[in-house]
Amino acid sequence: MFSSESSKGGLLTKLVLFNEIILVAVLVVISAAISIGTSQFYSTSNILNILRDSSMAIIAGIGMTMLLITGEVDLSIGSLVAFVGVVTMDIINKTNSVFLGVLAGLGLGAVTGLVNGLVRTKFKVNSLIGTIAMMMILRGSVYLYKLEAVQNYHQLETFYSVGNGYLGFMPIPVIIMVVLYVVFLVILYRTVPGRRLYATGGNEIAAKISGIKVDNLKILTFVANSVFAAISGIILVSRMNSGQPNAGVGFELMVISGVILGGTSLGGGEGTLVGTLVGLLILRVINNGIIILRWNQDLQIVISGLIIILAVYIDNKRKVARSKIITT
Amino acid sequence: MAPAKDAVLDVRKISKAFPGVKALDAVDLSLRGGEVHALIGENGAGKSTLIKILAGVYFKDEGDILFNGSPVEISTPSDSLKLGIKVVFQELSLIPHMTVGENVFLESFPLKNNRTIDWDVLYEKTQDLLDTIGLDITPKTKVYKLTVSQQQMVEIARALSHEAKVIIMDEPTSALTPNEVDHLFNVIRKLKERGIGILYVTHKLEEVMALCDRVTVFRDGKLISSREVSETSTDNLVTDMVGRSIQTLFPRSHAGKGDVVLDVRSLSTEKKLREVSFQVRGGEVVGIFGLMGAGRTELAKAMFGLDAVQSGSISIEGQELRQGSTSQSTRMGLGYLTEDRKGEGLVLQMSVAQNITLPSLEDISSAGFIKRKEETTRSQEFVDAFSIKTPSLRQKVMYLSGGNQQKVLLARWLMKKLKVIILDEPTRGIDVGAKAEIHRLIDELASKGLAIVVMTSEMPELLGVSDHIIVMCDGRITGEFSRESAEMEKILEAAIGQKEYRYAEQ
Repeated sequence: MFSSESSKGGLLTKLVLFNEIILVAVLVVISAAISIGTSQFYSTSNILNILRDSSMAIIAGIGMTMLLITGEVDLSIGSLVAFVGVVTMDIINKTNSVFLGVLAGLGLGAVTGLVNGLVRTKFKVNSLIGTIAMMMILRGSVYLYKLEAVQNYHQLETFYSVGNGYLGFMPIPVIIMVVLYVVFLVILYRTVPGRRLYATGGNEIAAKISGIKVDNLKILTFVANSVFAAISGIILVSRMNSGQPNAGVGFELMVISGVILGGTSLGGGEGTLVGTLVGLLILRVINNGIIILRWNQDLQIVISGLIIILAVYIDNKRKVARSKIITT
Repeated sequence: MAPAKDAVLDVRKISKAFPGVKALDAVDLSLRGGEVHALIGENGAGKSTLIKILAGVYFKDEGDILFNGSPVEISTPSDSLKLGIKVVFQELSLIPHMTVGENVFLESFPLKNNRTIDWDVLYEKTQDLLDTIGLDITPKTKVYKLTVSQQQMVEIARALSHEAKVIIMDEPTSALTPNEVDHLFNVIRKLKERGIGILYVTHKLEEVMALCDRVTVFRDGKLISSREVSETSTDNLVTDMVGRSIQTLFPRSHAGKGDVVLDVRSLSTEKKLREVSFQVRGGEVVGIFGLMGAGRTELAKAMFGLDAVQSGSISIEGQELRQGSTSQSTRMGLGYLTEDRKGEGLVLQMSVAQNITLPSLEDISSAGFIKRKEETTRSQEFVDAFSIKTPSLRQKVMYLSGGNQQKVLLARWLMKKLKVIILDEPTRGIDVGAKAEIHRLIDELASKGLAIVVMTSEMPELLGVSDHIIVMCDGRITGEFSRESAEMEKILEAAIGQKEYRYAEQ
């Protein structure tokens, strides 16, 4: 695992390098603060709520972490979530089959990821620009496809349980999240493709010289990222019980800022899933806190914006702290 | 040691530590005005750390710096510049799209009425400085059009414009031709006459003996010796640097040759290469020599599949390589140690073990899962065999010294079962001790049947290591020599493009 190292240097420098520990501490502190503000926070149902609500972001975060590690980014996942939701609901309505609906949604995700990947590797378009373009294309397309929300026609039990069901006391989305998380934790740290992701983001030319098929790997990671976003989209449409064309606005920013807060660098080559988990939980807990403390809900987006700036600032400080240590 | 009475820069008991390594341990150094003082030592000896402290890039942990006898604090690069210390790094710090004049007076523009830049004065003064140095270019030339040697001169002009009292030069001749080196030495002598103190950091002992007044040796972060050049010899210096007496160069022990392993035919690229053809046999070391711009690295990249090829072919053991596929190259047993090890070779954030095993992941994994134990065992073998100095296998490679990083790269390639390996400047920027080790390794590899291509701009290395020498100039092969028939003058003539030497294999 890529654990952080300590160094001599300013206090801030040391702090940003002890990444995961600091993050967990922050999470604990914020949770404690909210608990003091209201007894509602520290209850089983609220905690499960938080976990269930975070599951969509965390699932998307898994894909985004891997993508960022390779040095790329994807700003289209918010629009994709909306499009997937609308398409999935629509196909289920038309075919009365959850399976086909989910397949369509995941397929849409895969195709989007493939296009993103090809635009980056074959057309050599910077992924930030390329995926912003995709974001716009998808958002426009979903309205072209369906102007209004797609209501759940058949009310199928299976479909309902994806986002709202329980296995025992665990919400199903949380179970999906945990399974995906553990599987990809292993893949990222223990397998050859995982190692290659880090190499590609760390030094693309070195990776190529080592025989890694960098372009193929990136395309694959883009596809994986979009499929993860599609899974989130399917969970969301089940939760909302209808496909909303305006869903997911700002979702990509929230996921990316959580991932960066968690220690993944925008520059590539660094990042841990553990950090992502804690980073996203911090964001979700803050949002939850705003709701149950009955603060103005519009604060959510203001605070999210501030956190994005904070997250990138910390990321820069980390980079500088690391580069100060490099000897020639 | 007692500081010299007229020392302009006096460094006393400076220490600096980084995670896992003590880069400098209470070192002293004194520099007089008007002296050229050499600082030498193996990689990791602490030379660049000291320079960076003097340049304000790092901050010392302990010790004092005295400038003209009074203690000073250097915490930022601007502190250093204000004192009159100017460092000319290997990676020059000029702005390519600006003119010579703009670069020389960057941040110290002469002003009209304290407001607007007085361009006339700026270019006049620049011309004066250029005349002083003897650089024959117009001050309005954009820097990216200049050669490395000329750019270096611009850096020196910049130092003079700041009225530098101390100029520190870090490996100044690594990218220069012999003529340019002479020119640089003349300029340095002129700087001496102006009373400027020059700290000259280099690996090249011949230069120390030819140019410098005093020489200080660092080893493992400690001061080993500081003497007048007239009172020492290269052998003494090598002993000081390495801590033991070694032979700096050794002849190839063995010249058994097998079948042709690498066959390059009429290779041409769009930008540089023109019909390059040669063969390398198993167990043979082919040295490729050329000056800057000759096309050596272009050749290496084209052979490996990193760059596009217009025409011609490359075959390994008879099988032709598909262009543009580095993964095929590595699968077919071709390895490539890049010239730019930090930029292109190493993944700095990854550990020693991870860097070593990077091209060999399939060999140490099963069903896609990396076998940690095997990774550790195999990398440890190389760390031991090459004496790679690292606190642990998990140490991130960015913390290692240049020489050790190079060894990691070499280990990376040797871990794969290679048939051919291309080494591009394998010992550049590496100290004498590690150089010898790497030469020995090349020899050993050849005796195991590997076909080796070594690209180098160092004549002694070329002559010492090669069985067969190829000289390139401007993308073409202009000379071929066997080990026995090689002569320095002829090689240089071919390298400049003055003559062509073809040679038929016996």
